[in-house]
Formats: sequence, C-alpha cells, structure tokens
Amino acid sequence: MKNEENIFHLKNIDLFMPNDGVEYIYSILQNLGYHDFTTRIAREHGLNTIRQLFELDLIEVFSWGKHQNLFSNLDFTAQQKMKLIENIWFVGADFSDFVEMVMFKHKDWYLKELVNEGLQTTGVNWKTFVDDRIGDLENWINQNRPK
Amino acid sequence: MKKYIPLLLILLFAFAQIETAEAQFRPFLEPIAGNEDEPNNPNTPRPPRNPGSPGNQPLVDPFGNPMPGCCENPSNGWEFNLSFGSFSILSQLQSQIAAERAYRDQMIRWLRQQENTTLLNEINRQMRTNHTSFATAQRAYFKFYDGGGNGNGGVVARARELSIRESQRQKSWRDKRDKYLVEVVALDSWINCGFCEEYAGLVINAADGRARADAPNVRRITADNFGDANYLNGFHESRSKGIYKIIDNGVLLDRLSSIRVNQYRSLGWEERVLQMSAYLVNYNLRGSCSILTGGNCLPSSLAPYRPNQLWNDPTIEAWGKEFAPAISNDQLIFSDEYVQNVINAAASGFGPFGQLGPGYAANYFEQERKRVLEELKDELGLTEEFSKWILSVGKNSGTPCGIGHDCVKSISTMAEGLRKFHGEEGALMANYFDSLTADFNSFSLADLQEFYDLAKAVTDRYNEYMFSAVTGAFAQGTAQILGVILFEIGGNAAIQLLQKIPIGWVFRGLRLNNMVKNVGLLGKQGFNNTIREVITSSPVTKARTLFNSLTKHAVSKPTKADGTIVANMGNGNFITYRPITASSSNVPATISLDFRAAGIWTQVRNVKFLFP
Repeated sequence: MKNEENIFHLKNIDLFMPNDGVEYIYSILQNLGYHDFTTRIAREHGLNTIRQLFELDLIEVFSWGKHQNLFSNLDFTAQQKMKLIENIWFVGADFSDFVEMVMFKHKDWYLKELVNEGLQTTGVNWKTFVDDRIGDLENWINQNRPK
Repeated sequence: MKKYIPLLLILLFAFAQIETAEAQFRPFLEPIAGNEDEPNNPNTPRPPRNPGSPGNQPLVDPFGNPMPGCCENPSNGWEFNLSFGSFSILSQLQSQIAAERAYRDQMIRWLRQQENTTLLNEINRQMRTNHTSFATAQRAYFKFYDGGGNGNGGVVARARELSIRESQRQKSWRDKRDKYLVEVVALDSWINCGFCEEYAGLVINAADGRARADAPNVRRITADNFGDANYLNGFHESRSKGIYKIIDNGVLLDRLSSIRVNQYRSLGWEERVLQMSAYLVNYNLRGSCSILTGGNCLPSSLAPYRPNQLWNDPTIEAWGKEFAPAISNDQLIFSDEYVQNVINAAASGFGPFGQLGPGYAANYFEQERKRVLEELKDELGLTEEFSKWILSVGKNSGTPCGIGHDCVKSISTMAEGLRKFHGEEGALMANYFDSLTADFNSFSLADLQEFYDLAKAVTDRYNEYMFSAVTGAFAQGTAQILGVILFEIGGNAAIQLLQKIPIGWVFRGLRLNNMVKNVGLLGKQGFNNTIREVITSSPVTKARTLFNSLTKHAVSKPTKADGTIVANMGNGNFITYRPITASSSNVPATISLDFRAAGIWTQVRNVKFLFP
C-alpha cells in the first residue's frame, strides 16, 4: 500500500468515528476494510494509515497496552511513536494480541468540533451524520483544525 | 384625479415591458386563432392560412420540435353563405373542402408521428430505458406507472400488504385451531375419566354438576370452532398465496398494463396523444400538485385524460383468487357452505354423492371431520398429557402474580412441561427456570410478574413452534430473555437472572454461538453496524455478569493490566470485557465479540453498556 493513499476516501469514513474508529489497531484495520488482520499487507496499510493520522494531528496514543507503565511517562515524537508501534506490532498479530497493544483516541480538538456540529454520544449513525452535518470531511478537518 | 395620471402611465409602461419580456422567454409560440388583419367577408371563403406567411413565426412543440400548424383554428373560413348565381362559389367551396382535408391529414400525420418520436423519447427518459418501439415502451411504461416506478410500489406494494394481511389472518386462525384442538382433547379426557379432578377447571368450570352435564355440548361447540378455524386457516393461506402469486408472476402489472393499452388503442389519434401526454406530464409533476386536486394537476378541460385508477383492494383480491392454490380437502370439508351445497346436490341427484343420497353425504362429512381432527391431534403430538399441560400453563395467566396466583409454581409447571414435551432445547430452558426458584423469593412482585410474563411468552413460543414444525424456539427464547433482563427487570433481579444463565446455554459451539448472536444484537446500533449501544441501569455490573455467564465455558480468561479480560472461547473466537479504564471514549463497560472464526460476523462487534 502506498503512502499517498487518501485516507479520506469515502470507503474509509469509519476511521473517523470519534475514538471508536481508531481505538485499537484492529479497529483501524477493520475500518480500512480488512477482515483478516494478520497479513503483511494489512500491517503495512495499517502503519501507513496511523502515520498519516499522526501527521494530520487527528490521533494520539491513549494507552501503550501492556507497555503502558514503561512508556506512559516518556515524551515521544510522532516519528518515535511510529517506530515503537512498528516494533510492537508483529506480523501475524490478531484480535487478542491487539487488545494488549497500543490504543489510540482522537484528538480533543477534533472531538470538540464534532460536538459543535451537533454530535451526540449515542444513537448516531456516523455516515448519516457526516452526510448531513459535515459533507466533505477532509475539507472540514482542514478548516476546523487548530491554526 | 390628475395626481394618478403619472402613476397610471408608469403602470401601463411596466405592463408593456412585462409583455415584451414574456414574449421573449415564452418556450414556444402559442397557436394563433386567426389573422386579425384580414377583412372578414362572410361571403368569401378564406383559404387556410399559410403557417409560414409573414407575421406568423413557425410553431414549435413543447419539446422544441418544429410543429406544423396543427392547432390553429381554421373555422373562420366557414363563415360564408352558399349562393347559387354562378359556379364560381362552388369552385371556391371545393377548394376550401380540399384545403380543410389536407389540413386534417397533416394534423393526423403529425399526431401519429408523436408516438415514435416525442412520446417514445419521453417514456425512455422517464424510465431510463432504450426502447425503440412505442408499443413495447408503452406497455412497459404502464407497468412502471402502476408499479410506482421501480415495480415495487403502487399496486405491487398494496398487493404485498394484502398478501401479508391474509397471511397474518391465516396464522391467527391456525393458532385458534390449535387452541380449540387442545381444548377438545382435554374435554375428551375429562369426559372419559368420568369428570376426574385432574382435568377439572381446565376447560370449563367443573365446580357443579350442571357444568359436567354441559360437557358434551361444550365439546361439540369447541369441535365446531376447531372446524371453522381449520377451514379459515386454509382459506386465508390460499388467499395470501394467490395474491403473492400475481405479484411474483407479473400478472398483476401485466393485466393493468394491458387494460391501459387497450383503452389507449380504442381512442382516435387526437385523443391518443392527449391521453399519453397526460400520463407523462402527470409523472413529471408527481408530488407537486395540491392534495386538493387529488395530487393531480390536470385542468378540468382535460379531465377525460386523467389516468384512470384501475385497481382497488377487491380487484387485487379477485385476481389473486384466480391464482390461489386450492384449499386442501381436509380444510374444505369444514366449510359449512361447501358441505351444504354438496348435500343439496346429492338430494337432487347430482354431485359426487348424487347416486348415494344426502344422508350418505352428511354422514361422510361427519366421519371425515372426525378423521381430520384425530389425524391433526397425532400430527401435533397432542396427547392427553400435553394438552393438559398447555391448559395448565394458560390457566392463571390473566391473574396477576400474588394472592390467587402463585407465579413461582406456574413457572415450575412451565419448566416441567418444557422438559417433558420439548426435547433437549426444552430441557435447556427448563433448567434455567428451575435454577431460579430460590431466587424468586428475593424478587419484587413487579420483577416476578415481569419474569412470569417472559417465561409464559417463551413457553407459548415453544408450543407454537412445535405446532408449526418450526425450530428455533430456544434461540428466540434466549434472545427474548436477554432483552427483558437487561431492559425491563430491576437491577438486583437482573443480575441474579444473568448469573443463573446455565452453562448448557454457553457450551462452546452452537449453543455459545447462539448466545453470542443474541448479545451482539442487544440494544440499538451505534456509529456503525459493528457497534451496539445497550443503555441500561447498572451497566457495569450487568455487562460484567453477562460476560461471566457467557464465558463460563472459556478455554482461558486472563485479566490484563488495564482491567481488560480476554476470554478465549476456542477455535479462534474471543470475548473481551473492558472497563472504563480501557476505553478511549469513557464507556463504562464494553463487551467485544470476535467470532469471525465461527462465521457469525466478518467483523469484531463491540457492545457498549451505557448509563441512561
């Protein structure tokens, strides 16, 4: 999978579901359309996507899973974080492995702007919400991100 | 008065401007009635006006195609008197007639041309088709018209509703048939055992001798009711299938289309174009016309061209009847009307019993009715004992739990029968009911009532499924139970009910898969279809207890540092429980179900338990 893939493509829309879209690595893979999380292709695609989400300042690490005690007090650059994730995520890892790995959450500015658009915590269909309230998500994110 | 003169001048000027602007933007020229410049001599026949003559711009139709002067009014040419002084007036008359005929031929030619040009094009445009023949396109268009565009609306949608309504009536009559049959069996048992105590009060109040004396009469009426219900069960099933058939085989739309085509073809050319155009305009304006006009914008002058409403419920039902399968003989013999007709025919020497006479016929039907009742009893497995149990379960169902109705005892009765009459799946449910007996003491009366109603509904479902030879009562019952426990029953009782879910319900394999499916469908959909939201009181305890019950048969169940419990359910399937500390959205509790390996879902499903 190439770096230049536009993660805002409509088929990837569930990646942007607040927190749920990126919570675990398997959530990201699932929202990229993978049913089998164990392949090299899935891993490469997943890593590229995480990198882009970091670059867009859309996500942060919520927990380092079983490495939480070790890493939680350290201040990593995005690049260092990516390196760590690459090391932790082994080829062949599946659901039960991801549950112990890194967890992500969306950045607060993103969540706050969604609430400003009227997002409720329950009873919301994400696709419908984006269609009705946001339209072009890429454009909306660019307009609303902290300047 | 003078002060208004400038105002009037301004208004006159404005009207003149509007007129000019309108003329510029008018999509096509309106037909012109006559030439005002020409002197109107009543004695001079006037030749038809040349459409291309100066002052008359060429006409175009609504679609922009050049239009011959079809619609001009030629009548002025006929305002003259015939005189007999010379032949010249006759020659002029001859010319006038020829001109009028030519004019009419031209009009008809133009009208005919519309079918394979403008009308065909508009039909294709509306239906997004590429028909090349008007006849085929029109036939398809009328189906499109009556079928609500995609062939699924309009008359088809209504017919589907009617078919479903008939099917519901059939099910209702089948349930009644089964209920009456159970009562007949119990009444027979009561009469045969000499009015013994164990059947007393199950069907009729047997407290006094009069009720006993009435028993044969009640039995006869109940058997008649059974017969009526059996016939009506077949009648409505046949109706439902017939209506479904005319949707499925296309007869419904074919017939309507043929009627419309025939109506169209019975018209002259002028009317055909007007009629077909009315259909096409009507479609284009759909939804935009006032309800006061019945959703139709046709002006009253065009009323004859309003598309006819060709169908109503009786039409659909009558057509469905033609295609309805015959009611089976075993059901038909319970139709009093049918039986009476055959007996009457026999009395007149006709029909199947014409040689044997009405007495023979009547006896034949009586014996046949008895045979069907006995056979159905065997088919449904309605032994005396089974019938007695069904009636026992229903006996106090209308009385609230408390004094006068020992609901705990009633639930035990249900468990007893489920175990005895419903095989392995019945036993699974019975074990659950039995295991709760001790817990019921700590339930509030409202919670006990709630659970009693639930147990009764589940038991009825088992019986109903058995009678319909349908499997899946256990799967449905467990789903129903989880739903009620999580959303209807109070905190402590709900936890007890969740804890008591038997390990037999969650044995790895089919049983566990069934429960996992139930859990994965709890509550309502979240952001997408992999997320469920269960909004309930005590979400953490309920989720944790449910997780514990679901994973009673786990291969391993380690707890991780962040509080997540990962239950390995074997064969690559996992269930996890996550507390709020392991949720980036602060969800109090989440159960995740990874049953991709079992083939239940292709994606991991997350069930969030949330406070109301």
